[in-house]
Amino acid sequence: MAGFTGLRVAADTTPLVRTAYQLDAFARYECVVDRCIARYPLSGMCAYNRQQLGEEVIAQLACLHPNINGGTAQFRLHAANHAAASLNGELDMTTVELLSLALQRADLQPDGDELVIDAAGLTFIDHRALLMLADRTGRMHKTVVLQTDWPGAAPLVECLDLKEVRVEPPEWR
Amino acid sequence: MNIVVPFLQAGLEIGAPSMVVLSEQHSELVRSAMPDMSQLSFLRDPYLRPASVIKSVQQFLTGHILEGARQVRILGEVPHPGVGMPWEWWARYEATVNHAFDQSPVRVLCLYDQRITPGDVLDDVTQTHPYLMTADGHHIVNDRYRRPEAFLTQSRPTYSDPLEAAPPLIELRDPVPLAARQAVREAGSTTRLPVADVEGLVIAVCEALTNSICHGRPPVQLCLWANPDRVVVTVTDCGAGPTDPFAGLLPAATGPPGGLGLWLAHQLCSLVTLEKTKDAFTVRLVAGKPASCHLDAVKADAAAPPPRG
Repeated sequence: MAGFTGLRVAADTTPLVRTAYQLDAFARYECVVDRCIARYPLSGMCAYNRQQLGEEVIAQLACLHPNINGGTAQFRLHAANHAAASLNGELDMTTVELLSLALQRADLQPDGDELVIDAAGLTFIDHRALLMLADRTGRMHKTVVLQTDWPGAAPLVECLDLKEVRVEPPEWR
Repeated sequence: MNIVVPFLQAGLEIGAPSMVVLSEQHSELVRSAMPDMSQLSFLRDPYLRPASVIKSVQQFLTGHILEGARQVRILGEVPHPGVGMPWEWWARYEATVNHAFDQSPVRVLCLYDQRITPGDVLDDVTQTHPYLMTADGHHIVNDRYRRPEAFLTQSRPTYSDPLEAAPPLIELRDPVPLAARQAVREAGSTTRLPVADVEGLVIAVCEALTNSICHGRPPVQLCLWANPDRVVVTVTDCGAGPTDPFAGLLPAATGPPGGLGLWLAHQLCSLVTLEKTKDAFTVRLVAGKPASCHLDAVKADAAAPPPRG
C-alpha cells in the first residue's frame, strides 16, 4: 500500500448473510471490522439487498453501522475512537431484541472497571434497554458510563437506583 | 405542635430516628420547637410525588434498621385540594403505605388540618388510617379503616384536567412509541416547561403506551392537551388495566424487567391518575403544575384562615 493514504471497500454482501448462521457470523465480523475502521484509515460500504433479505435482517445489520439509509434502524451501536462503543438513536420496546442481538455480537469489553459508551447521539433510552446494559456489565462487576446530553438519562438512572450505570456529559463537550 | 412535639420527643427518648415529611413552612416550625434534632431527618420537596416519598422512606427505614434501629418514626402531611394540589394519587398513597410498611417497625403520624381539608379527602383519610389521633393526643382505633386492597379497588370519583374540556391538540390511534414521543416533544417545545420535565413526560408516555400495547387491548388512543405551563396526556386502551392495586406507587413484586413502567411514570410526572371503566383503562400523565380541579378547593380558599406564625 505504499503511497496510499487509506483503503476503501465497497461490497454487495447480500450473499454472505442468507442463513441465520451466516447472518450471526457476519454480524460479528462487522463489529470486528468496525473497530479496525475506527482505528485505521479504512472505510467500508456494505450493500444489502432489502428485497431479498427482508426488513428484519436489514435491521439487525443496519444497527451495527455508523451510517445507514434513513429509517433503516431506530438505533445504531458501533465502534468509537475514545469509548468501547457509540450508541445513537432511540431505544424502546420495539428495539429490545435488536439491542440484545447487537450487544451479543459487539461483545463490548470494559476498559478497567468501566465500559464507556459514547451516547452523544442518543435521544431516548427506556428502562428495559438501560437494565440490559447494566445487566451485561453488572455480571462483570463493572460500571457502564453513558456519555450523553439526553436530559432523561440521569433521572431514569436515579429512579431505577442503578448503581451499575453512571451518566456523564459527552467527553468532547 | 402539641401533637407533633410529643410524637417526635417520644421517638428521641427510645432512640428511634425520625423522618419529617412536611412543607418547608411546617418543617421550620418543627426545627424551632424541637430542642434536640440529632435524630431528625427532613425530606426535601415532599410534595412532589408520592412514589418518590415512599421510595425515600423505604431507603431511610432500611438504612436505619441495618444500623440496628428498633423503630423508625415518620411525621408527614399529604397535599390535597385544600392546599391547591390534586388528591387522587395521594389518596392511593395513603392506602399504599399501609401495605408498604406493614411488616416494618415504623410508626407514622399523618397531619391533616380539618379547617382546610375537603370533606371527601377527610373521608378517604378515615378509610386509610387504622388509628386516629384526637386534638388532645389520644389514639383511638378507627373502625372505618379499610384494608389497602379494598380501598384501592373500590370505585372512585374520576379526575380530569380542566384542559380536557377542549378537544385535544393531538389525537393518535394505535401510535408506535416513536411517534408518541415525537408528539409529546413537539407539544412540550411550545410550552414554558423545562426540557427535563418534558423528557420525563416523554419517558412516562412511552411506558404507558408500551403497557397498553403489551398488556392492554387495542385500539390504543393517545390524546394530548397543553397550555404554556402544563401538558396533559391520556393513554387509553380497551383492557382491564393492572391487577396490582399498588401499581405505580410500588415497583411490581415480580421484579424487572416487567412492572416498572408505571412506577417510573409516577416518579417523573407531576401527576399520574389511573382510571378503570367497564370497557377501558386510562393512564393520565401530567407535566407542569397540575390543576387541583376540586370544588372544595374553591370553598377552602375562601374559608382558609390567615397563615399562622
